[in-house]
Amino acid sequence: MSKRVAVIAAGQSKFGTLGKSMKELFIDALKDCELNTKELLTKTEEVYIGNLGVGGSQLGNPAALLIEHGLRTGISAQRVENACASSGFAFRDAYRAIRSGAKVSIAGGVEVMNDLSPLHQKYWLGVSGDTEWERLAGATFAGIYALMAKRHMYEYGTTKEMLASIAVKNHRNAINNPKAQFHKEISLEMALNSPLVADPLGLFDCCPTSDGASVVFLASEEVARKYTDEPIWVTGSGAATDFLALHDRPLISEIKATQLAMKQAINQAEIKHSEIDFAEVHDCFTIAELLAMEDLGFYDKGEAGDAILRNDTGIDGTLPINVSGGLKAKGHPLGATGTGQIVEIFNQLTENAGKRQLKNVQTGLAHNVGGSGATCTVHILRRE
Amino acid sequence: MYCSHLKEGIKLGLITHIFSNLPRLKLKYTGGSTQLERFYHASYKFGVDETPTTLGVNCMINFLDSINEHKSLELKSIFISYPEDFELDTFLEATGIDSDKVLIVNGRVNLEILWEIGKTLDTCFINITDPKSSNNEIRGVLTPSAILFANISSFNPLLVLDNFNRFNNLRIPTLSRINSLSVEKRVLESLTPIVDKEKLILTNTLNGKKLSKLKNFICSNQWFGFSGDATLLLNLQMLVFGHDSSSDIEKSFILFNGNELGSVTVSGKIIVKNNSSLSVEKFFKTEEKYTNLELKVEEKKQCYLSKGVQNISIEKFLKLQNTHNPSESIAQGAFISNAQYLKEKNSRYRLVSNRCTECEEIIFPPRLYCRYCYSLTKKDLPLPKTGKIYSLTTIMKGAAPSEFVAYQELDSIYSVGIIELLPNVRIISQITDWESNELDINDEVHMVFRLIYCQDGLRRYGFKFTKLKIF
Repeated sequence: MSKRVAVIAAGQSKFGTLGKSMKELFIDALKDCELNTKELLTKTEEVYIGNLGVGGSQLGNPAALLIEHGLRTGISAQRVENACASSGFAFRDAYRAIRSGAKVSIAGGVEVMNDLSPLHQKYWLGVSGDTEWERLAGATFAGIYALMAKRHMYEYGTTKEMLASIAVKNHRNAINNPKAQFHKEISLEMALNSPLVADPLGLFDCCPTSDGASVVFLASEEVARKYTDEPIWVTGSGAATDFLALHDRPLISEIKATQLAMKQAINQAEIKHSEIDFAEVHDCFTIAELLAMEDLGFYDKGEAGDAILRNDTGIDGTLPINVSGGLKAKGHPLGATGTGQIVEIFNQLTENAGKRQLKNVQTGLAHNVGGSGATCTVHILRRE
Repeated sequence: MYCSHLKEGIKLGLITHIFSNLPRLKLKYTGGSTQLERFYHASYKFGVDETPTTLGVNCMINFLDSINEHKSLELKSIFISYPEDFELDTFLEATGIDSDKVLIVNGRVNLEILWEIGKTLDTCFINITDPKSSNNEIRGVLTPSAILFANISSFNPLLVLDNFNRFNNLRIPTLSRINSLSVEKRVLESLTPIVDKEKLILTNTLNGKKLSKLKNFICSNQWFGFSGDATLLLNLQMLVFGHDSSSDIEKSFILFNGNELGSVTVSGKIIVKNNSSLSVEKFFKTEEKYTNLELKVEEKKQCYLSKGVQNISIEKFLKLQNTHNPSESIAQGAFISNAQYLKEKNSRYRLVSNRCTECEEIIFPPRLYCRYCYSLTKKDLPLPKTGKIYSLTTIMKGAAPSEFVAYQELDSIYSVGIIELLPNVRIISQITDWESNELDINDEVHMVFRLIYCQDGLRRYGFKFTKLKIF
């Protein structure tokens, strides 16, 4: 089973408030792929589309609908739903399809969130925790992450400044990403003084509400070689689940699923942490990026905050994180986020990242979390 | 012998008092105090997530807890009088009371008759007053305005009255309404064998004028309060009896005010009278210390009530809720059906957990399999109703899930915490009746029964936690 899996094309729509339908967004993502997608689509055997289904308008059969609008019928296509990690899992499914013998597979994701009124939006967001308990306590997702942040602060002395610094960095990074939702630098003071959403998290600690789509073509080694001289290999894939409700977890200052998924991925890739050059991590809230830094094993528990203040994770730092702007500033169209991260890793490894291109990068990591850590995928990609 | 019965009786009576879930303030004796401000705040905050049902449930649970402490006591029957929107089923489920024991006495309650019955039966009487009823003499009082129990074991009857209104601030004219509670006189008469009612005469002055109507006022020795929107000067003398510890006298007085105008000046004297039949000395061993104790509190109150939310009535609350929750149509997204919700009513109403019969671990919220040993056999185990804040947050205005919008509109913000009830037994819950900046990790909190939200024309109830000490 040493079948190698390559990513041969990846694209995304712009993320943001776009006024486009899910079909339009998906076609935008297809058009963004460098390769001849028409030809690739004819070779595609399996399609996995991540989608949470905000608003519920196309909860049934969205994958067939989208791929049909990409002008392909007659193949296997399915929706993958694992909250915000939907397309991280779609990518894992597409990866395993190749491992199982498919020649070309598609992983993608799409979400349209901004066409709902605020009241409807709030009904449809916050459905990914243990709704019978967490939702009924009036907790929003910001609230759930705030509970984690507060506990992390209590256990490790993490400060609001550390969290705000993550927002500042990701906003700065997004300026160089034309696909990002925000292109506006923010100061630490702005971030610290932003209105509270769920104490201790302020507005700038939270990712925006975004529309968007992303799509990734995966292929077997044989097919990949025909299309590119420099395939990007998926060398590690990990996934894990955990208790949905925070109150059921032994600790809430960590995301166990991240730790377990990372362990699988890095063992499979047979590399050390130090060999990972950059990472796209799931920063739906600033605290989530800090938790990811620790739970992925780049820093010991309680050490990530200082690393942020040292700018270790800045674009010039020792481990650039969320060069794309992350969920925080690039945007977070729930179902499209996981493969959106793969798009960034692909662009960096193929040196197509424009102004934000990192130098001499060989290995990148994508970390996608569903809910407050009930589901998680970690993927490691490497250029030959 | 007699005294100790009385003492016990009073204690029980007080425990069951509805205001037992108000903070027991220690007033500073001079000047303003932050505690007083806090109380103002508490009085304003109260009620936002309360309905007649929650008031009745919390009151009853407190009462039952106190009964349970006294193994010799057995509650045999309960008389309940309640307003139209009181949900009896929820009340019974949340309190776990056997419906066979309940006698419903709706309409205008004839306290006199109940009193007679109460003298011969082991009885609890709970009166949940309809705020909308025009012929109710204690209308506007949403709290169970009186809790009467009689002849529990060999105790003598005792009535604890309150005259507060959490929702519509009690105004000065209301003070006179107390007098119209004719039941008081009857109660006093009933009490005659126990105490000399002459000793219980309370004199009041309002703006220097004596309230001649207010002659007899028996007040729970734990709570006495009033409020007003103009300068109120009240001198009072009262006999305090029934304290089981001398230090409690500091908690005897509550100044209750919920208005943004004017100021309140209260000065009072607690005259501890030595009544041989009461053996007051037994209750106040250091009688001298409390004789002529001066209570003086002056406070300009504005603080919390300037939020633009005032005089919150339950009607307004429900109206607002209905505004956002029309009976059909809008429930969507994370909608949880009532049938599904009520499957877990033991957990949601009374914090009942599962204890695995194999490994003895506690599972809460309950699961089918024991999460530690996969056993399927388990027993119900009520959890302690007191826990510690493990983590917390405050959901700010505009950030609440849709079904909480109405609640938030009244309260503007609300707190959510993870509460640790036992080591590694935690639950997420709202923390109510408290300002978020006064909450912190490790603070002790207590369960109360409250309204969660309304949806599809139903009120959904469950536990919340509050930092206020119940007992």
